[in-house]
Amino acid sequence: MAKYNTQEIETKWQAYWDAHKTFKTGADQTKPKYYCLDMFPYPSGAGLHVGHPEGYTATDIICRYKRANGFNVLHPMGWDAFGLPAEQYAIQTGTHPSITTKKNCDTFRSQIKRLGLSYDWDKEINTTDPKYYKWTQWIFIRLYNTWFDETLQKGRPISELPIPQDVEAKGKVAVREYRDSKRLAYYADAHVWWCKHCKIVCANEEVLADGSHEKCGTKEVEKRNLKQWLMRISLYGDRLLKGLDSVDWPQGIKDMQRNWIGKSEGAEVDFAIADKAGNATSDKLRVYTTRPDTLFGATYMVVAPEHKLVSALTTPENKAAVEAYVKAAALKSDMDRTELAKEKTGVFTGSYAINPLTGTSIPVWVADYVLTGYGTGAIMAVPAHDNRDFDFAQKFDLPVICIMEPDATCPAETKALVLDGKACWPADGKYIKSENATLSLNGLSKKDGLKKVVAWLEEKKFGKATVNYKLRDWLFSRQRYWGEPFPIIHWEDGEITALDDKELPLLLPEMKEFKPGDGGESPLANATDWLNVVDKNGRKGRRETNTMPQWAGSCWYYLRYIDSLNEKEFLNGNLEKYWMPVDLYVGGAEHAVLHLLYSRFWHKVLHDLGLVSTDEPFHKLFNQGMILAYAYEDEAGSKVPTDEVEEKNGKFFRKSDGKELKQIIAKMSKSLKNVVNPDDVVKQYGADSLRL
Amino acid sequence: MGPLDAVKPWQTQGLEGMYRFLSRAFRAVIGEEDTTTYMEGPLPETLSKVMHQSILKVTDSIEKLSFNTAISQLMIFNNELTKSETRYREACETFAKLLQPFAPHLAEEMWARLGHDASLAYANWPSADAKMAEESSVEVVFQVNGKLRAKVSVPKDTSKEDLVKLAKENDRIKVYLENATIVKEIAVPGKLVNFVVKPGK
Repeated sequence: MAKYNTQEIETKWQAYWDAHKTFKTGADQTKPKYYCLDMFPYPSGAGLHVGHPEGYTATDIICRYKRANGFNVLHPMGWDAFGLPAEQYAIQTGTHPSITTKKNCDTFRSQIKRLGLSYDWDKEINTTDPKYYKWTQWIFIRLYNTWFDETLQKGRPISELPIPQDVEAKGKVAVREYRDSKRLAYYADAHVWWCKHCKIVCANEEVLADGSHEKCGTKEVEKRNLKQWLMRISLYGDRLLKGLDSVDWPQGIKDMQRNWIGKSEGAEVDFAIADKAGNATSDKLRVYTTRPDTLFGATYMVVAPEHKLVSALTTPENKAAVEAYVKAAALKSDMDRTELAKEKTGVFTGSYAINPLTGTSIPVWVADYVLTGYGTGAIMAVPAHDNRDFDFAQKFDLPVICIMEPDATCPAETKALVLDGKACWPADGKYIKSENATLSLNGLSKKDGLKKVVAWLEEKKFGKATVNYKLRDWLFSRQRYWGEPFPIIHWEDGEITALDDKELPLLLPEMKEFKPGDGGESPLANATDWLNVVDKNGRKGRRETNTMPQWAGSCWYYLRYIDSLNEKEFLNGNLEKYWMPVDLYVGGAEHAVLHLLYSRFWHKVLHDLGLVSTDEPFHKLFNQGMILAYAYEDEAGSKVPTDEVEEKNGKFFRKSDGKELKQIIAKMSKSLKNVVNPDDVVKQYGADSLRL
Repeated sequence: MGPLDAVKPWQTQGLEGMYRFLSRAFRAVIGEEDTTTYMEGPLPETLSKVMHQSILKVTDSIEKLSFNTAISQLMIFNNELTKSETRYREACETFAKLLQPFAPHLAEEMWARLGHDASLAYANWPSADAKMAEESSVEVVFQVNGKLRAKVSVPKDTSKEDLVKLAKENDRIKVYLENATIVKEIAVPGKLVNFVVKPGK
């Protein structure tokens, strides 16, 4: 041999590893195990991006190291292959998404093999393979047949759900509806985000902070009321929160998950609606507040525009204004509405409610800084001690009553303003002007005040201590062809049933047209042969036409790798006990919230049902950084494609006019022509160099 | 390659550097001749020390997912191999084993050239003798009134007293002590000596 010939050496050893199945997962369970997982890629038509190998190399280094140290290593790879691009390509060209997907997977596989990554290819999975999605559907049925026992904080089979006597008495339909109202996967009218551009509903999580749709980047999202499948992930809020304490994850990711779950402790308080004379009626407006201790300072109330009492509260002379306001609010995103810096808007309903502590009537407003999905969708406003309430009160000239003298952390001049109702003090201090005939908080500080007021409210039956979560139920259906079909039938008498396990997989029907309907129905609504079913009693039914979101397949793929060829079970219990949890999980931080939260939720349900032994799936998590590229921009700030740039003495110039350009760092993109193709790199320098 | 969790721009220069490192490693362990002979038996002292240090450092860096530090150490090890006229089997095999997670193709090639039939993938990870990795000497600093005046290399187990003695005899320190009175002597073995002085005898 002469020089270091990367092509010759590398292809030789890759062929050797392939032929000898060198990296086949060991089966000897007396050895220690190491499960090392990469976030599996969506096999896009563009092929492997140079950002992929970085994370894959990291796990590969660990795996090779662990093998040399005597561990059985599970190091698998697969494809998260349902998704929009293959479907859009199908709409344009008529090519079936499965053909596009297969081709892209083949490209990805050969590119990955050329990097010398030590995957056990016998473990390869593909979420679009019926042998795989059979079990995704099977898990969906488990979720459908599970309810959450809040006392035990645990998911339990729906057959164990206690039926209240009054429901039982109403008959079979009432019992069925009661059960359906408790299932973890449920079908309901949902006030959902709809992207007009993609013609698809989006999960709350998919609408970004700026109100744009994560997938297409346009701002053509609006709220619509549609029948959808949802998952009661919100019931698992506390479990999802507690589990974070037991895993070795970057602090930033844990914080993001905690914020997303958004647990807060406070109280629900009932305000009686006042009649025209200002006397309490039996109608109540329930608020959630984290500061019930400031009730003495509540000077007005706000309900969200979507609150179900809005029209009842609105008096005839305010009707036009309220209706216009509600309509306008529907077009804004939650982020737009709650952003602190945003100018506050709102309208008066004309109604008043009675502060249970002071007995005074206070006006009820509609404003979009209150969200319907958080708490009860209504708040009491204490402008003296809450910044947003203060801004709102200033703008609409509502009274500000200070009921807490700021503590020593407050500068003297601010303190004077606060006491005078001209500034806001949201922090701690000593209560003043906080007493009625049976309760006084005066002189106490926040911690004691909270306790005392909640006890009083509970005693007088005005309210109770409540824990609240920002986490909402997860919107789980999409109006798409290229996704897992729901194993669900809607019957003509209104009953919904899940397929029997024996009927799985429910295959996607073959189709020629993949266009979704404008009205919001999925392309599957056109597959008439597939769609309509009749049961043995002649009852007619229609299959669910929505498909599952791409998150479904990635919620449990790490479990399937362990036992990817098992046709009898989704996963053998002994193997699960040996291999779980995943010891190291590496992927991009962009999955910090959604994928990791959803898969942890599924895992906990499977754990509650006794299907997996572990409560948390991923022991250690690591995020690799993103690989960016140099890009160039001219004086005006517009970007210049890399092939129109030349370098002279460390400076950069546009070839056409010789103008000097600034070198910046940006994401790789086709339009900037700065995408680095790993194949070219491997050809020039070899895979070993790329790995370093 | 920088830290794994950092966001960074793609740099072809970095890749060229890695390619050059692997080419040097290829020459050091395999060479460009048709056959390579390896010396059995004990290693020269410095090579042995660097080898043991490399095992410790690379192992620790992998555990911490700090791969760039592991590669820096492999470069140091490789420089030591390159310096040696003779190819020592123990050093070359250890190098191949440590290189394997990072550059598995080249490492397999080395392993085969070293005469092994089976893949390197399951060969035992090398273990280090911490004693062998220890530096026999250590760098200490001499200060006067807290200001650094000299750095010297001394045997690792030099006592407090010997350290002060060495400092006083040091030419660059002597100048500061000539017309001054030592108020206090502070000596920390393995680290420093500091003289607090005031002018005049």
